[in-house]
Amino acid sequence: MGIQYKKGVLELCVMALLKKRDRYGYEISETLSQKIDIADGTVYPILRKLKADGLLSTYLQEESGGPPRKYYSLTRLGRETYETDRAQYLLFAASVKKLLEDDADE
Amino acid sequence: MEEYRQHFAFKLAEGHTEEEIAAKLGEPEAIAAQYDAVVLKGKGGHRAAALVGLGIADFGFGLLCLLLYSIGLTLGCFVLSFGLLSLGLIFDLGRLEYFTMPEMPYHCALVFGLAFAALTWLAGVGTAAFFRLISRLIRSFRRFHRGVLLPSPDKSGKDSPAVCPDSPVKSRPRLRRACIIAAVIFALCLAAGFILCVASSGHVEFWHAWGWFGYGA
Repeated sequence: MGIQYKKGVLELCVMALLKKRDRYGYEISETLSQKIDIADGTVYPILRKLKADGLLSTYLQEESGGPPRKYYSLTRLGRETYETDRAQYLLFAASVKKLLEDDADE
Repeated sequence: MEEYRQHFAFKLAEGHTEEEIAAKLGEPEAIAAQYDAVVLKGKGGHRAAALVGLGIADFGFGLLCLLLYSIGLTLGCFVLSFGLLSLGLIFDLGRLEYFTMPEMPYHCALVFGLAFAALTWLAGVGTAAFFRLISRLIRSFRRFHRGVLLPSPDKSGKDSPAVCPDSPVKSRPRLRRACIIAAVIFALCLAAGFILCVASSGHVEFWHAWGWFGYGA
């Protein structure tokens, strides 16, 4: 799958994972790289960008037997942005799907 | 960095090697470009603070450039002085009305002239390298300036110029050879000139014997 249209979607995918529950960075990276063919290091800059944009917040949680983990959660702005972007993307994806299916029929 | 540290820690605990983990992280340039794009987005307050900071940096850098150019000018004056002195000694310009030279036999003056000619060359190379350093500093500062205002990653394919460039003597073998020869000539001629002057004047302090400072030995 080409890199360009993956890039646009990855932020949405990160927010989709965090909508369900808070997660730490490695967990997000592993989950996404199992479902989408991306490099392991791709997610961390995205997390930084989303945090810089005010869509995510972070907190540290102590873990037994290890260093504290930085958990990410969606802010209120993040949830609103996710809902809007999700709706727009699903509409866009449906239109592209129809276009490609029409092309296949011709 | 903490995220990447934890990433390595988790992957190592799963039994992967560091090389495997690093290979799967992706292209470092691509990751770095993503980080470049995060700088100074969004709120106008950040940009205003950046502009104020840049203004202060510009002022400080301007003062530094003034100081560096003054030093360069001084070095240039040294080069000119050594050059004129060597010409004066070699071509016996002391006989000219406005060319004041210390009095000494011509063979001593010739040897000292060669020493100062070599010193002129060395000083000239050093001064040129110093000005090259200043221009590199200015270029690096301009890139920093542009980077703060327009944080898109540099995709021109050109490497950033090193702030401290390799010495031109290191990177050009002929120049290095010439500088070594000049240094040897300077040392030898200075020593030889001293010995000749001592032999000619009959005094170790030949400068007194010839009344260079207005009084004899």
